[in-house]
Amino acid sequence: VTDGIPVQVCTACGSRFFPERLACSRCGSRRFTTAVVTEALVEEVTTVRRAPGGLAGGPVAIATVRLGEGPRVVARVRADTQAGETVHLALQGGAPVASDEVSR
Amino acid sequence: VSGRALVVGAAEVPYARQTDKTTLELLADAAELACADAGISLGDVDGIGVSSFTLRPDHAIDLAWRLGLRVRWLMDDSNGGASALNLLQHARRALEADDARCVLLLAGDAFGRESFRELADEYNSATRDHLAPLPFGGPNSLFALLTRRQMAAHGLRREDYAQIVVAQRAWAARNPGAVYRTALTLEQYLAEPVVADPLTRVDCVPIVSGADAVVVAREKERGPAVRIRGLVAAHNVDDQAGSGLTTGLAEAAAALWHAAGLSPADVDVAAVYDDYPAMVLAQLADLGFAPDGVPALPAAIAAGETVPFNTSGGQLSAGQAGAAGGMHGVVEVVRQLRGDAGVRQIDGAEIGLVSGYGMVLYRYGACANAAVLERAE
Repeated sequence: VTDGIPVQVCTACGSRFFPERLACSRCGSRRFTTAVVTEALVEEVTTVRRAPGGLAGGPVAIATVRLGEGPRVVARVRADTQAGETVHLALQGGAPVASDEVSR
Repeated sequence: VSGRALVVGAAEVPYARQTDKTTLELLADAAELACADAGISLGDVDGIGVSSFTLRPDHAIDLAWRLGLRVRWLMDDSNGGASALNLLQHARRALEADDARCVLLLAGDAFGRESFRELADEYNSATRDHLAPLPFGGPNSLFALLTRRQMAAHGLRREDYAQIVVAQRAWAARNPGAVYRTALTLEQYLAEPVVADPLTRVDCVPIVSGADAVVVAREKERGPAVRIRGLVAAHNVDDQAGSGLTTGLAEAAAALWHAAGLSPADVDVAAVYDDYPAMVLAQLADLGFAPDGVPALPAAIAAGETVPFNTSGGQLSAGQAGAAGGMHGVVEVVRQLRGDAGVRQIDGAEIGLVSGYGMVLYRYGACANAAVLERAE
């Protein structure tokens, strides 16, 4: 588990990306730096109750969250999370997860 | 209207929740049925294109070999719900350029429960690396989020989405090849078990095994053929950064209607890619079939005031046979335009529309394409 989400920042125009891109979709540059973003705004939430092959750990709350003015990412959040909340994110095995969900 | 490429045959191997057949066998069955429908023999085919998630380790050339075909045009397309029209986009030009004279386009998959879960978790590297470890339970959760956005943007309720599912299920009752044919009421729709709120079981396309095929040729042997009046595509139009509530069709539609020399009002029958009801609304609007806006569409659908669409029951009732999802709509519209749709035939159908959508890269589908087709005597 690492704190925050590593976001690509285009060195030419400042556009931000997650997941990783090969070139900036705005200006075409291939040079990026990384910014670690920890806070995100929750836009929508769903609770996944059924899945192909089942959900070993039970229902999972999944949300669209926005990293500041940067990318929207899909994150696992606590079951009672509401749209409009701010969550603190970590990266767990490649997945963006709200910090209070990491121990699950 | 250009038109050397004609769709001269179409077929679907009946979809099933379970199959004992391999992907190669299902595709071969579809090939045989489509050639028979076209009134040709397999030996007449000199080009082959295929779309399948489960064909690996085999490729289009393996299929040609196993079917005993010598070909001079060969294509694999792995782009899911957009693959059928992608293949048709290429095949049309191959025929016009005389690179081939008779092309067989195939799509299909044989799934077990485990093979579908693997596909969902390893759909692409972004999914494998960032969604599967959530876990996310496959694309249903992503379209649950998208549907929430659409509900908020347009003030829609679950009852509105029910109109699409109920209407398509009514069509499915007239399609012996559909997997779910039992009529669905609004009350039953609302009582369905939740998969990922707001989506219930009947909002999520059911995964089946099966295959579809069309024959595209310079000349027809049997019955009316189908001409391509326009075919457009727009992929990765917003970098997965937007809402997903409009597809690439929103920017491609003007070119489509211009190429066809027609407008949405001219269309007699449509097949709109229906992995989820929200995407049916989105594509109908993008293509110009919602003159009064998205919020008015559900009531218009319930009243039968829209263009007849997804007359096979669509994928939501007929099933989604993996990569055949895009070809399913092509086959249905070709059948309608050739007068081969049996008890669900739209009388006098002359102009059809098919859309393709899909390839969920991270948050929603990135691919979109559409074709306007015309009955050609």
